[in-house]
Amino acid sequence: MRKVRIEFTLNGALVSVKTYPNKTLLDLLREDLGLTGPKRGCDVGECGACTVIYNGKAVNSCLILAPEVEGGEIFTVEGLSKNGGLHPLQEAFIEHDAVQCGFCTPGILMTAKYLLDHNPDPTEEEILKALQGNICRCTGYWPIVEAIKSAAKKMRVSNPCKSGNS
Amino acid sequence: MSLPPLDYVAPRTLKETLKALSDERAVPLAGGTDLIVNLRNSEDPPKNLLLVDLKKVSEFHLIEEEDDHLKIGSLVTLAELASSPLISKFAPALALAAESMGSIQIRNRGTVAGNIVNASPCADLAPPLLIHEASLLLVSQSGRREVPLSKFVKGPYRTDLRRGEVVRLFSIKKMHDGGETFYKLGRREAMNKARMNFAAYISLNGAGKIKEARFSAGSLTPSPMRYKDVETFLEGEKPDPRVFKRAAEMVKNKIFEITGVRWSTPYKAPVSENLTLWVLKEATRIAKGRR
Repeated sequence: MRKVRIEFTLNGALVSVKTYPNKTLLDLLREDLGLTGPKRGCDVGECGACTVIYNGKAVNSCLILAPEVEGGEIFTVEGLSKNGGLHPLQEAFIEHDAVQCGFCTPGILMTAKYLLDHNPDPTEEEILKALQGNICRCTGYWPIVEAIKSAAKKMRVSNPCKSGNS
Repeated sequence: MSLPPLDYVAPRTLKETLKALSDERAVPLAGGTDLIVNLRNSEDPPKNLLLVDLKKVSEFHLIEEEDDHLKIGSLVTLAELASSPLISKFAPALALAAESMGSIQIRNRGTVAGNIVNASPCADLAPPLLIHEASLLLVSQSGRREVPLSKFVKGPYRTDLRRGEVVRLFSIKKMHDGGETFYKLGRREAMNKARMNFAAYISLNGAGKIKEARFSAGSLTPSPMRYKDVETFLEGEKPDPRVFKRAAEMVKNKIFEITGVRWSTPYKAPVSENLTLWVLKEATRIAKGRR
């Protein structure tokens, strides 16, 4: 099996990496690119711990092959904070105790970002539905829901005209 | 557990796709939500695998109207089906089914062709596609053929897809005179395989009687199917509880005629009957709302 070169935009910067084609995007990010934010929870797309945003869509990186993302755009949790400052979602998660062991957190943050990019004012029901693909063993989910509501409000207040895709 | 060694190609046109698929090592890759899991868990994975990624072929992604049909590209995702205005207008049961599957992450990747070609007995898109008389356009280097969905799925995890063929699109009949619905019974609200799934369409004539009835159920028989005897029984009848109860009983009897009595029968018999009744009533309610 020969290595292949894959080029894509990662957290806003162009990257180029040579790897085996049977590697998943999750392993590419964690092992080849040193981004350990996305986690391996189940490897079958059921727990959401590996969630990243790929071409604007929240996806399970454990189910995507590395060569598939050639020319694409990927955001991981590492791309949320800008210039050393935390994203409103990250701040809200800390404020609302929505992080305990932290294993599910990167995946949930990316799902939450995807939700708010497309729906800046979600109802509680819409938040719960969006989180259906992410499992948390620690928090009981309610702190996470409150954090997302709070972040959504803060983001709407600071960007009243913005429809999303920040 | 890692994936077996493989080569990967991503053709950009139908012609390039067919050439790639003519390789004897070729396995088509759609959304990957079933294939990647199966490859990882396989005790005897294919050696010398060539994965042909279909996703970069733009014509596989279209949803278009053509006279009284909708054409749905094979790689249209579950998320796209759920949010398409054309699907919501002319095949709402299909949108409901797509929305019921997996999670946001799975729906952003899973495809209509993937669900149907995987051919699980509980494939959620099958019942709504069946009531819309779906047919598949299959293309290969030797030509093309159109196969009704009812004939394409041959049994659990078996289809009529031949080596070198790719599903180009699904063609479904537009239906908007009546009401239709989809219901999926699972152990939880998301990320679940259907224990049973149902799609029903009812239209009413001027006298308030049933003009057209279509009903399909999955996960109850080896493959999802239409219940044509029940549809024939319903047509011309008044849409009242007595009639629907009789129809639901006919569905239940047909299921157990095919499968025989199993360990799950004490559960599945009354539940399938009750849920059949529910979807028929719901489709009728929607049909009445449209008049």
